[in-house]
Amino acid sequence: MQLGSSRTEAGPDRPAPTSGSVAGHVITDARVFFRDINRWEGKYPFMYVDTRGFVTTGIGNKLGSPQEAIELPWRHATTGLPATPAEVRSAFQKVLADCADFQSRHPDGKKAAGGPWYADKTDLVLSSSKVDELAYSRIDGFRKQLRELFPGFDRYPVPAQRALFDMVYTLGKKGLANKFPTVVAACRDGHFEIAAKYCHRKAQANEHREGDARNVATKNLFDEAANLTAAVRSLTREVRL
Amino acid sequence: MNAARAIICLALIYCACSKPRVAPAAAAAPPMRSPQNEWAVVPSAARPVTWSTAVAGPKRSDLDQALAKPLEYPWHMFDRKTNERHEARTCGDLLALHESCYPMDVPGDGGAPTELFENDWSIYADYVVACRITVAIQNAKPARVDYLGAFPLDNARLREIPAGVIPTPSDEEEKQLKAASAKGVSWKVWDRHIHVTKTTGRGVTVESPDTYSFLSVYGRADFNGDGIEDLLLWRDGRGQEGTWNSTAGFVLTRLSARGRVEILKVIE
Repeated sequence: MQLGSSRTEAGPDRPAPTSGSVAGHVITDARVFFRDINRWEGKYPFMYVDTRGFVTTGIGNKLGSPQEAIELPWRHATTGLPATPAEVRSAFQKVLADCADFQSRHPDGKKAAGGPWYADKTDLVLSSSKVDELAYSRIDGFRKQLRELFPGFDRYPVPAQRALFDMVYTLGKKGLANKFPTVVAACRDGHFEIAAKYCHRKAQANEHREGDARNVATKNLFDEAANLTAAVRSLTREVRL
Repeated sequence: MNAARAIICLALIYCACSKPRVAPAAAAAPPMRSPQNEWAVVPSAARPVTWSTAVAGPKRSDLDQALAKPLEYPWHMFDRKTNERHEARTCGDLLALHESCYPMDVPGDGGAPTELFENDWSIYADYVVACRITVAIQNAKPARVDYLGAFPLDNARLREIPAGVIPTPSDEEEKQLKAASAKGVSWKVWDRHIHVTKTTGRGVTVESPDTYSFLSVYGRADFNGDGIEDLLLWRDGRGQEGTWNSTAGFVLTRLSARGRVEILKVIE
């Protein structure tokens, strides 16, 4: 049985890019994860340089090279006309140059500019649907990593899946496995209440965020998963009696 | 013999006093070693406060004015109680508003303010740490003695820098790192894979399979009033995967010539 089935949470108005069934259970709709990362990570249709110095677009979608950028359907925000490969390459190089210029003027810790700073640095944007498509593609990748780390991932309560998805997004698979062994072991054993206790991430963006909201949200999801698991166990006992 | 000692002593004092006020981020004065190959104590009445050009220009007045220097763009700060909007246009503004307000994005088209996204929260946090470091250096005093020596940021230093400087997103690991640091465990001992991968004039990049960090010496001075010179190390760390990052300033010191390097304070 799929606890807290995602079908109703996914929303009725859009097609589910990734859903289906595996081995008799329903796979959580990717839109559930999409909503979560969109809430925390935000969405920029233009190119910007992230805190790690990578040209990025959409919802944290890294563009490793000009060629990767050229492969996307950029258009001019002002005219709506498609951008040529040369224009895309030029925009890619411009945001890097703008970032370098910013850093040269700010050699201290204030080394990066926020996403909105890049909004008018180039004229090229991606359509909202393309940004979403890129995000869904990454969601599939993260889910694959989670299945490798948690063989029973698709049978976990949806709140636990959402919490783990957020953790693997911010920590990477290796970071989750190596830095949060208690959480990993607890989830594998179905003890989501333990995961709730040890899931706090000390990432500075979390801690400065008002009310430590992202960490609180993750903890609440694990707590919800623990409650669901306890309810199902209790129900199972009652049925047996 | 006494005359020779006096000349050496005077030379040492001259060297200490003639050091430039601005210390390059990754380099420092040449080390002075005793015959036992330990860092020598520089017997100066006042080892001046020095700081990196990353913090402020070379003059004391530059440091004093660093908090008033305009930021690249203002942070829109909203009061937690009244929701009143303020603009932080300088480090001074930011630090004054940080405790009572939180930042939001304000669209240029006059739309409603929106919550900062993850990337921008990280940048905001970097600003806060950088501004706090400036204040720490402004408040630091000249030291009387130095047991740290030149302290160039290189692979050898990773055997001295305490494990507590290692960036981690995990509360559990942070506790372990603090406990290990208290027992004298260094970064290199905790993580044998860590090594310098890039050195620039501003600092060094150190990496292991798990973490990536940029280190830079931001200042040297007495930060806690004990007369001993301390070093302010900027550490911008993150994972090799994922989006988490962690920026902090570490005040490091060595309390005696044979002592280990300790963390006095963390600025975050």
